[in-house]
Amino acid sequence: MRRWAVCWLVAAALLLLSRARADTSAPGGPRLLHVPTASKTTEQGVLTPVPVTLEVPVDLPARRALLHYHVFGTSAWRTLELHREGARYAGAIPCLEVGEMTREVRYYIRVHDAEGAVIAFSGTRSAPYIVAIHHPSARPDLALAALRCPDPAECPPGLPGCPSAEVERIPCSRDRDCEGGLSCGWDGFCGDDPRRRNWFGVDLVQGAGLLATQGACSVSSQESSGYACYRSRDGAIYTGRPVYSNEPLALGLAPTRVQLSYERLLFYDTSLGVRVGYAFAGEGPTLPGAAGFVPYSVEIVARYWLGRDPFAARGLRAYLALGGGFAEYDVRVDVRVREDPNSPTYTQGGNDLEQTLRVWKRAGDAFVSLGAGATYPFTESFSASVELSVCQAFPFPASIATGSVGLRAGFR
Amino acid sequence: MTRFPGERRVLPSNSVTWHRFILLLPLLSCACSADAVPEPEPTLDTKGAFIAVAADEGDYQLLRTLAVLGSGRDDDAFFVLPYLAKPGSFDEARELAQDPALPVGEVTAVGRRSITSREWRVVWFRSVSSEEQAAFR
Repeated sequence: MRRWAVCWLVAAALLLLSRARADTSAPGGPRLLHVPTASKTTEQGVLTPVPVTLEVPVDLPARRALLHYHVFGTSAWRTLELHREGARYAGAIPCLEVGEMTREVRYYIRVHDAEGAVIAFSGTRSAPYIVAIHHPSARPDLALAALRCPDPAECPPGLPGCPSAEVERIPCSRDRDCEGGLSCGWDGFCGDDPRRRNWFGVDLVQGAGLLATQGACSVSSQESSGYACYRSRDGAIYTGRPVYSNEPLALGLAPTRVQLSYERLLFYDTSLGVRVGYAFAGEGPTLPGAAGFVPYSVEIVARYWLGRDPFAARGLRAYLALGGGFAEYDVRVDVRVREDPNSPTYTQGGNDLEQTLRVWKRAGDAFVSLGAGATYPFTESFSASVELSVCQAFPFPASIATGSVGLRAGFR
Repeated sequence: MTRFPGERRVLPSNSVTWHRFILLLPLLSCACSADAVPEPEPTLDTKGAFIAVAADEGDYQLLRTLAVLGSGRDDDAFFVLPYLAKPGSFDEARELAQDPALPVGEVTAVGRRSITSREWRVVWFRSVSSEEQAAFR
């Protein structure tokens, strides 16, 4: 009779107080099924299961109720699934777990929804219910007639009326659904995940741009296409009348950037990150009246990591990347220009029939990029990375190839 | 099977494909050069043109056209900048003309005939600066 008193004591408290929503519940977080401190401690005899019954409010989308218990003298918390009986969840800490020694059994209950998220709880690991187990020699009033636990083979766990089934894997939908240093895995269960899911990095990035130089130094190109041309001889801004000749594509250096990045592993092989950069070298001159170079850049990048669950083990991790964002690229090339000596609208003096101009193209401000790279972890938390990518800047176009090297630090 | 007895077969078995490719080559080259614009050349009358004119001493005099008064006849007046260098050939004149620091004399007026009656050639061009134009005025 004593054990059923324990059961109903807890159940009644839960029932009454769960309906009165506790003020301590976090907005959007799991609901606290509050129980007064006085009722969180009870007593019973040895070799007796600890019955637990929970009545969950009907408006809670409860899917499972898990009982987490710890027997004094053991190292780990264990978990049982309470079975549903109408509006209630019921179960018991097995008799064999209680044993015949005087000690304490601690437990708390968490209610999960269909996605595994904890939506309500009663008791916590730090403030659990406590059942003091007494030996008949000290408390003969708690002793039952049969001082023997039933054979588990006679009543398989999980069946109605039998001990609760032990839960090996705790369902979850996010890390805060897990306890004891565990994190929520992508399989929807808590576990000791070796993966570092949050990666901070610093990279040094060097770009090289491919430019169309045909007609690049015409006045209209300099006014509206992001080009700026300067005479090699005296550095003057070129405003001559070039012939629209067949100049080839030209390759030139683009700015050197330092980038800080944060990347979150979203799945076994997929990550999403943001990179913020600053161009500290390679900025070109700005034409009078034109907008200045913006050295800052920001990029959103998604990566597909090759291989099977590459973050579960150490080793070279290769990836493909797709990104886009904001950046300006000043690309510098030298272009041969031939003057049209018969232009009727000649204004600038000192332009030779043929000359080489220093051309800057300010490309951007948006871009999309496609790349590939690899990281090599020195430890579980630190890795080095290399990446090659191709960017297409727009609306002021240029094709930019970038190479980067960097370091990454991973956190759970 | 070759067309002539002495002809060696050099094309691969799928020679039809190669024939088509070879036939397309001129078209491809046309496509590449279709955007090219003929490069206009400076003439004697072009303001800023460098002209090398044969001199009596066997070398050449380097002049630069600043302005032309007239309509293309022999009695047109040319206002030129005479350079102090004496190139020995047109090629040397072309090299010298590309030096912006080449010593120059005062603006001089000459007749078209005095140029065209001798061996002459336009060797270079540099657009006239405002300072050079001011010297003429």
